[in-house]
Amino acid sequence: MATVTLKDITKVYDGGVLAVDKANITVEDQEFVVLVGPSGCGKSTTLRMVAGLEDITSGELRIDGKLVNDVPPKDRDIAMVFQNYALYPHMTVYDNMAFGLKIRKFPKDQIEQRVKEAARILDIEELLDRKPKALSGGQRQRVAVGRAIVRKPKVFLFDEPLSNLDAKLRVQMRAEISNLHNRLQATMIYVTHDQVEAMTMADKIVVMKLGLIQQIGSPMDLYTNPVNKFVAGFMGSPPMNFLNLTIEKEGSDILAAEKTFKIKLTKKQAARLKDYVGKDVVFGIRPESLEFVEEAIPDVTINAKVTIIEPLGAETHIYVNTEEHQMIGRIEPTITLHIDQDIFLKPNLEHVSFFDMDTEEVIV
Amino acid sequence: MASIYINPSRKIIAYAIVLFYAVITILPLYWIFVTTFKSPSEAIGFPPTLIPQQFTFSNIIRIFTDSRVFGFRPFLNSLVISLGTAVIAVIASFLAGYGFSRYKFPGRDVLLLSLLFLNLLPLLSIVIPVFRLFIIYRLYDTYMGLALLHGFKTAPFTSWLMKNYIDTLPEELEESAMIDGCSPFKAMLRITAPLAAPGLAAVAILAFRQGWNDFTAALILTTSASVRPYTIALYRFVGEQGQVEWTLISAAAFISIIPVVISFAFFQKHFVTGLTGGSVKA
Repeated sequence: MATVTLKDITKVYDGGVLAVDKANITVEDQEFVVLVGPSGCGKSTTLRMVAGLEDITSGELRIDGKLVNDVPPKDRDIAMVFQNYALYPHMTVYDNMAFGLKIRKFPKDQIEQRVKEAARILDIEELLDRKPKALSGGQRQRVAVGRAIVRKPKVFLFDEPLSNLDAKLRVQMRAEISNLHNRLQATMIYVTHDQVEAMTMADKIVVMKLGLIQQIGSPMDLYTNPVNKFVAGFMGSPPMNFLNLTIEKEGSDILAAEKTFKIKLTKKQAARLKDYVGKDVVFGIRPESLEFVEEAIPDVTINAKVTIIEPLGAETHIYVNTEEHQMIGRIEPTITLHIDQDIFLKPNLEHVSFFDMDTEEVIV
Repeated sequence: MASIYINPSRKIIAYAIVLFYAVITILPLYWIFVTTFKSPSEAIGFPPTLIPQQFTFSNIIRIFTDSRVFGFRPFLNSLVISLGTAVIAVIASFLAGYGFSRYKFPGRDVLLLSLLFLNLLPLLSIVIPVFRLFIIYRLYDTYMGLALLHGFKTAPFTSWLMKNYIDTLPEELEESAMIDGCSPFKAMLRITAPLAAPGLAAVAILAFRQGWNDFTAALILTTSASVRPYTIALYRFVGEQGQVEWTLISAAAFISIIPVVISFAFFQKHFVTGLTGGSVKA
């Protein structure tokens, strides 16, 4: 098993398109790192550079400390699972899984043993004689994973492996890949645009946007302490609410105000926002940090009108409009509301963020 | 599926036209077929018989056995030249098609266009310079010479064909093979080539046909009976006999059709998927 280190990795495509800009990522031994971001953020390009399928324009890529910038993919001792599985259509499942070992001239009995072992782990033993055409999406996915694990590579790379599966299967395979990681104790780098996959699977998440790494951290770290508005909005579902509020000073208090409500800030927040008095900031609050209360509390609650109610069983999502904004709240399913009802929501100020309007960087 | 209503009388007219076309297309073939098995006197008799009255294999036997009349050799020569053409075209157009499909290099589009231009060149316009070259490189009057010429006459078109075919094969398969331990060349050979088989089959048939049907190039670029294909033999055979022996020429023509029919029947399925550019997902 191995570490992977990206130092100032940059990719510029022919024609001058900057796909990845000075990426610095350290993947520890046995770590599960997820690269996440919207399409075109450079996450796949980064992964393909690690795989050796894409040339590195500048920077240093090391696997186990060894510089591998110019090492061809076949000599990097990695395995990769592709989005469309990339199973060889003219070979049986067995041959697909055995191909990498055959090319590397493993003895026959060892190949058989490894393929059978992997097939057992993935529960695809009865499919070994079939061609990929005769498999379902989920089965193809398993074979693709199987082809990777028989090789026992230093590093596993996954390029959006679940995006072609239906929702139910995706949840199941997500758990299976997590299981596999625990079982194999392998170093894995996983690319996805789905923040739920990132949150649920990763030891460490790398959030990217337009070729730039926004933040690296554990899932909870990113969720609770996003460094900017993009990360805050990207992680979590339903997403964080953003309200443009004006910072006001009343006596010794600092408040964030919309037309019809004001929120008195905590001491810590007040200290950081005192330079913003008279200016607008972005107030970010997650749906679960809004508490439904019966009556208005001055300088505490947000008054809003219910527009949509989505009961999910375990919880209920409500879409509400304040005078100037729309927000989503997550409330107990036992609370009964109706459309157009005026309600009061109390923000949990321990779990809110303020962002600068211009830089979108977190203030506090 | 909704069926479209067609007026019965229009349907009859349509069938009549199709039938007429079918008859005028098939009639010459039918004539060759029956004349092959007729006696010489019956073949020129009037009115012509639709079915041979005295069914005989003697024409076919004479074509194969009597080397003064025709012999087996011209067919063998044609076969060698055509197979050689197919091999050359398959290799050349696979490599060219692969390169055009997978690599983006300066001048790629211009090269692709010039391939089309090459394809449009009439054989006669290049045959004289080729003649000179063949003399210099000792390819004149050889199997290799003709196979090379036909191979490279076929290759521009079939390279396009292969490029389009390989375009439809996902590149991830090769990338996956490279990660599995293949060099780029090995990935092309082990993964892309087998998947391109239907396209290659189409190329092989087109190339074979090019070699098999050629008359002009063979007439100019060969002299000896040990190399000359059946098309030339057929022509000489008509000329030297003074009179035309319809039964023998039919027999020779009939035999010459067989390899093309067999190769098409054999590869028919591949041929069609190959020409439609792998639109059927693997």
